[in-house]
Amino acid sequence: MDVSMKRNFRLGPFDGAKFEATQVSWMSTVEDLGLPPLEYEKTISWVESHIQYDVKNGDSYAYGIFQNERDDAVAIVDIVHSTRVRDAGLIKMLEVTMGPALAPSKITTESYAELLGIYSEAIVGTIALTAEAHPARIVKLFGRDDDLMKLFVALNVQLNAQTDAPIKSKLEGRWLVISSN
Amino acid sequence: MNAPTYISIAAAWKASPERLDIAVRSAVFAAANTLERAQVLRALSSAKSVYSASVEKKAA
Repeated sequence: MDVSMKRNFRLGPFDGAKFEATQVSWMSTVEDLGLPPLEYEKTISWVESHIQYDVKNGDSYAYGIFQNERDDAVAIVDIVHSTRVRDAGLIKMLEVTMGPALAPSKITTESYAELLGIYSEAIVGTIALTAEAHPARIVKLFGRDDDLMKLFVALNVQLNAQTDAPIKSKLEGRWLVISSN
Repeated sequence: MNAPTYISIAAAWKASPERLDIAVRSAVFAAANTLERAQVLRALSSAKSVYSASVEKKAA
């Protein structure tokens, strides 16, 4: 598997055009692939109500992961920025929802590598948000189920095995906490 | 009392975004290689609704 693949996905905010492009693309793909539309419709609806990035009420923000210059997102990232911590903020990545083209039944060898690249970008892009849009000291990833927790355990080992890496991590309950090294 | 000293992750990103990107990407792929593909697929591509995640977030 090509670990050195270029960073050809980017996490970023939605604007009206990107939201509309994502809505059209996802619903079209759902229909083409014969997937059940309900979860994707709910996700798109959720995105529409969580892209007011200037509202700071502790609720989630919906960010997209976009391939190169495309307007339609390949995945949705649910992010919460907390500023309640005493000495610094923290940013939580709660969920990464892959688009219908990456539905489990449609994954191939090639798209499996793409899936990992997109998930990598979800983490990297969330960290990048701390530099401007959501200043924070640490990033926390939520492990919503046992499968994701198993991946977090392995990811925690790998992150800390890189002695020259600029970041380190630790597990705290269902959270993988990433901070600077 | 002095504020705690630390290098924030934001500073780490600003100092070297490429290094940080490579560190995360390498770790994700290496972690996936230690697990069965089916297990990674279940972890990353379930169609769980973000509504549920919001509920879990409030409980966390």
